[in-house]
Amino acid sequence: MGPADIFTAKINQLMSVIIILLLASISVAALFLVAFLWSVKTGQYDDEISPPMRMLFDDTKPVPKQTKDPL
Amino acid sequence: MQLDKFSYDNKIVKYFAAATALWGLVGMIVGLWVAIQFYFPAISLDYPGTTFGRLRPIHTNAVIFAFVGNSMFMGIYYSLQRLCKARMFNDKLSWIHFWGWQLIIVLAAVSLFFGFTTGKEYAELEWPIDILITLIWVVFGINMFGTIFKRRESHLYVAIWFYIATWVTVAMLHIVNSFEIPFSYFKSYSFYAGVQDALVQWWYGHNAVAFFLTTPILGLMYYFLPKAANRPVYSYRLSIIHFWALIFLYIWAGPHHLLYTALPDWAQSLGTVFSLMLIFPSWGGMLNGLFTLRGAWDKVREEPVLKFFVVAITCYGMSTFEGPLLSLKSVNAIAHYTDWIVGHVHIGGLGWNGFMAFGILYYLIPKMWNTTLYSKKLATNHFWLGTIGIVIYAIPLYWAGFAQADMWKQFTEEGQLKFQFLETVTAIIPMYITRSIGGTIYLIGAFMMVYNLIKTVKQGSFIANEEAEAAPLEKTASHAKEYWHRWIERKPALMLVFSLILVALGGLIELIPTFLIKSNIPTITSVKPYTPLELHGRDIYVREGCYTCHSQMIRPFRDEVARYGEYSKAGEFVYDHPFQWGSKRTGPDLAREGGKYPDSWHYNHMMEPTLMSPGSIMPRYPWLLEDKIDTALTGAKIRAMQTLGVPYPKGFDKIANEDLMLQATGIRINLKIDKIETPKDAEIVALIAYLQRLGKDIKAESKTQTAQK
Repeated sequence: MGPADIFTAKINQLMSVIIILLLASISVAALFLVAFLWSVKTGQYDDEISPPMRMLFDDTKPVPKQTKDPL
Repeated sequence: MQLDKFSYDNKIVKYFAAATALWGLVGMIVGLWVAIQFYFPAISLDYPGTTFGRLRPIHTNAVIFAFVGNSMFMGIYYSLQRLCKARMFNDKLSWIHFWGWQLIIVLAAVSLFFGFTTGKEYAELEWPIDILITLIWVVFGINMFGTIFKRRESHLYVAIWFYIATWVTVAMLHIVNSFEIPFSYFKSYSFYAGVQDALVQWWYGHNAVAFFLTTPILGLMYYFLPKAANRPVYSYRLSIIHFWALIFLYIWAGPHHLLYTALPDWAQSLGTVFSLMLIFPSWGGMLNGLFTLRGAWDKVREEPVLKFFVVAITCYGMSTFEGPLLSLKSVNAIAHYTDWIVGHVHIGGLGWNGFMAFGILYYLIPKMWNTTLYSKKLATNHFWLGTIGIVIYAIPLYWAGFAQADMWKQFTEEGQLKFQFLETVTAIIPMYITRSIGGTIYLIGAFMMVYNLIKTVKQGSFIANEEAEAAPLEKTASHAKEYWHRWIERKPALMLVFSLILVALGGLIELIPTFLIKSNIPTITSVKPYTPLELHGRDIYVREGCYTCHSQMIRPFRDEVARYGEYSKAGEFVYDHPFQWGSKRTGPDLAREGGKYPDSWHYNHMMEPTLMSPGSIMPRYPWLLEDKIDTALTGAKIRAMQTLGVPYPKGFDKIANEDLMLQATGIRINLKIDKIETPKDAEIVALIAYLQRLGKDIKAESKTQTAQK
């Protein structure tokens, strides 16, 4: 077994941290998948017309603008 | 139908806005200070806290977590309330969040100034602050999710999805990357080592870009751009599609920071492929933003807010095209370690993050003070100065990057390297000067903004609680068809999902010790743990931030092997807690520095770099010659390393200081031969021991190999 083979074998052992990264990333990805399915099933995306329009309106009471004398 | 009467909390937004402006200026001033050090190193003032190695992390933490962080909270607290038609869940939590975050920033600045750093980029803050960050992030999460749960608008506008993704992913990233073993009240060692640490670090690092600098700000774009232009988003469907695509793809792009390093090939290729795929969802966002202004370009001509947004979104598009290109191995081979990467970062930082923050400030300050902007003209001038500043910043760095890569790789006809490393540094000094002029222009613009906003505030009257009315949500869902449907809509279900994830993560925490410690068994027999003296030296290297200018990772290229020695192998780094591969070669790579120069060379070089390297821009480190090694900590350091699986003999921590003194005496003798007197426990001795160890182990292995033949 030459040096190169030893190094390859070592690298696969060294990279075991990827298990942690995969578990963490896939857990979060699974959470996002659940969230996505929830959003589709509860009809979040049934109406794509009114949300972008609705957000343009303020539901606050208009207060007359004042510009104080800066002095 | 009875309308609910409630009010939006503007006071919390005001405070986050003030913090954004303040830390923005601070972060940019520190940035200018470090930029000047490249051509005028004396401006480090010969003081430990103000050398490049310590100031650079203060700059990055200030602009990322203090400036962009506060701008994100400012924008989220303003927009989330209005999109949910509900006041923030709990005012007390809002204030704990605000003051907690500012406390984190102050602690960060002070601790980094004094050299308490983990040595991992964008995760430099030590373990007590890491815990505080987790707590405050949870407070933010409760406040944000609480607001979402008590919303009066059942539809979750796309911006809210971006905020949710931000919160969840940043929580995961921070926790996983911050696994560390403390050995003192302020210092710790990374749980991971070498190649593993590099992978976790850049899984975190790139996702910090993705989920701290990009997704929350995209969310803000989806609120503030339509509001400012008074136009609906170009394609709502596109916003949903690119959101989901973006968050699923981004997490896998991390390895593109590690191309041609000792990271295994398959991991590198994975990073490249996902980074390329990212162009599509990223440009989906850019195009959606720009096309929203269809038919409203006359408004862009009039409104500074829209001007800032347009350039911000364009810079976002440029960065997210350049990024994937830089992830191609052939491009990366040229760009990695050069100033091209710094240029790339700042197009995103100055262009996307900076200009979005400025635009949002110019939008909501007049609104919250119920007035108009003090001077549109001044704001427009700010816009032009900022834009010109970005250009004058970035172009010299592209030039410098190409010059570095070109000069590093050139050979003469006889097969020798054409340029000494120092020549490549000197050649790009004019670019460094120009870059800092660009930054200065950008900073002046920011000052103009602060003046403009203060005058605006003075002429208006603040609405602390903005009265609003909205219909409450009907308890019975309008889509109620099936029983299980309603069950999903109730909070406990979401709580359950969260709990499951937390339990899974908890399980991970239990798994980690067994996994990593087992896999840290020595793999190259000639690679030995650092001696106690070398360990102190390494910690000094980390403390002074040497990794911000020097890499320790030789790539398998002809020019690098010729210049630095045998290319770096993964097994060499098994005991490196944390890894110190570095990202930038302002100075040469040090992976095989061991044995290249006598001990006295290193002594003189740290005392006065230009003595050994005429024309060097490295700062001076005179305090290392006087300050003493903290030998009281040696035992704790060894024990911490043992916990992490580094094979020091049992009980070694008790005799470690004797070993340290023995090795230190050897070095002092070498120095004395060259007429240098040092106290026996001066820090420089430890640093020399560490530097002389770098890259030596693998040479021992090849020697034994050839000896056996």
